[in-house]
Amino acid sequence: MGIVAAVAMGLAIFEALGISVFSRIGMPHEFCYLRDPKLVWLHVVSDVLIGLAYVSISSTLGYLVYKASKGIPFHWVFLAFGLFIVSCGLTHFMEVWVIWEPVYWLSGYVKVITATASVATAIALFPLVPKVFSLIESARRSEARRVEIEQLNQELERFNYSVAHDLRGPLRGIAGFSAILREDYTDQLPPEAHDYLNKMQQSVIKMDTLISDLLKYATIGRQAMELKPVSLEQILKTTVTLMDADIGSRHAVVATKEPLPVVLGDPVMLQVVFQNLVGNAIKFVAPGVTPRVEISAQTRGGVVTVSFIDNGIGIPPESRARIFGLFERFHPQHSGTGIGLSIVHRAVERMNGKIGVEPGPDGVGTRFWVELASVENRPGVS
Amino acid sequence: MTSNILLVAEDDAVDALLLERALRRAGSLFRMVRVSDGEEVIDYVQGRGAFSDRASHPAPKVILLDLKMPRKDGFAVLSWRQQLPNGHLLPVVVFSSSALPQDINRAYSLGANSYVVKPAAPERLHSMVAALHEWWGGFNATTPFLPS
Repeated sequence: MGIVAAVAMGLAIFEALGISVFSRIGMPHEFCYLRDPKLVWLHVVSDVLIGLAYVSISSTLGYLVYKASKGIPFHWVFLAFGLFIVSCGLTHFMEVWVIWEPVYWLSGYVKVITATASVATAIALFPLVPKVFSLIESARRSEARRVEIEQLNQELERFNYSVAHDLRGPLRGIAGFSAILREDYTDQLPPEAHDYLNKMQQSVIKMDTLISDLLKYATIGRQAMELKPVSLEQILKTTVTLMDADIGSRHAVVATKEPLPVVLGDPVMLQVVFQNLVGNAIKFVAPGVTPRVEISAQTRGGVVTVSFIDNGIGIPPESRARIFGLFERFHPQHSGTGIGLSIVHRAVERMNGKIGVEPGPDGVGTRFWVELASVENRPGVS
Repeated sequence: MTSNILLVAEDDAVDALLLERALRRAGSLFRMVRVSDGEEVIDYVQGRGAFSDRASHPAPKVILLDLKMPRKDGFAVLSWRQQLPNGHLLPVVVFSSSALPQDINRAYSLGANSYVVKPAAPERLHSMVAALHEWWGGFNATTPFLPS
């Protein structure tokens, strides 16, 4: 509408200045074609078709830029092209008009507009050439990078496969033969030899656990994952069922105050988080203390904060910063590989969550907190 | 009559030795025959090449299959069994180092009847082999597999 108004105003100004826009001079163009209907219609049909095609091309370009918005580079060039083409179309419509009406002045002015748009587009195109080249180059480079990442992924996959299949074989040999020594040569071996063989086996089992935990750590970061509503109550129930033997043998208490909410997460990752945090909570307790872990959740501003509060031996303050690192261990008297919390950290990160640790209430035990997205993900609504 | 052959496909001599020892202790329901790769498993089951004498190499009752082996691996053997007429009558217990979920899933999707991760602790190996001996040698019912 604005364009139409501007053109109308321009025309009025031109007329007022005495430059006649709509004045007719001379004879209509059909006389040039000797009023031969065949020749006239040949020109009319061709010009109309060209004009319509130009309008269609420029509307398509306009639609493309509108839809892709900022997605396509140099989108203003497309718009300039559109203007250039639509004005070319106008020129052809004028050619049709002047066949019957000698509005040669108007036809000339339209040509001026077309010329301006054409020259501007032509000039604007020059500096674009190197940019387009660099665009092509960067597209080529990102493709090469993608292929490289793909290859790295495949290599990692092969590495994991090899670790899983090959690295543990020799350990089975060491453990197996030390067991054979103990069983078949009991009488020939002095007592300390038995002790060494036992220690040897313990080392092997430890190495085996290390390898399998490392593999878990490697796979948790690469496992297919989908964020969807998951009931933490259900995850906790499964955790308690899976850890039944462990909980029973330690006479541990796993408690909640009220039902846990539903969060946006991945069931497998959440299971890993719960199992490791509950497992740690009931494992690291002072002798003679009944392990107790309480799990609660708070929803605020679209974020669910899940707390795991235990009555364990706690984590030394100076160690808190390193606690999620690989192979970090703080309680040498307790068994462990130092990978569990790294796995938890990675699982939480993959769900776009956060994890932290602090002393429990009144300085007793430890509180692990995990922040996850709530299903009613509306900040400000509690 | 089904045979009492437990066909063990295992390329690692140490694993095979420890397995044989554990099986001897478990009982005598099985006679263990060891081959070292997938190609040999196929030859044995089809009674070809070195295993053409069916009297001394009867069709196995159960196959204990390692996954990572030279030439044809365990997965290739499982795929071959799926195409084999009556192959489903031949129970396959996968016995692998790997606890990777993708290996376990792939083995089951190719028709494995059971999947056991090789234990590192000798006591675990003994109880696992004792259970395998009792279950697959005793309780588990099969009909004879007759290769065509």
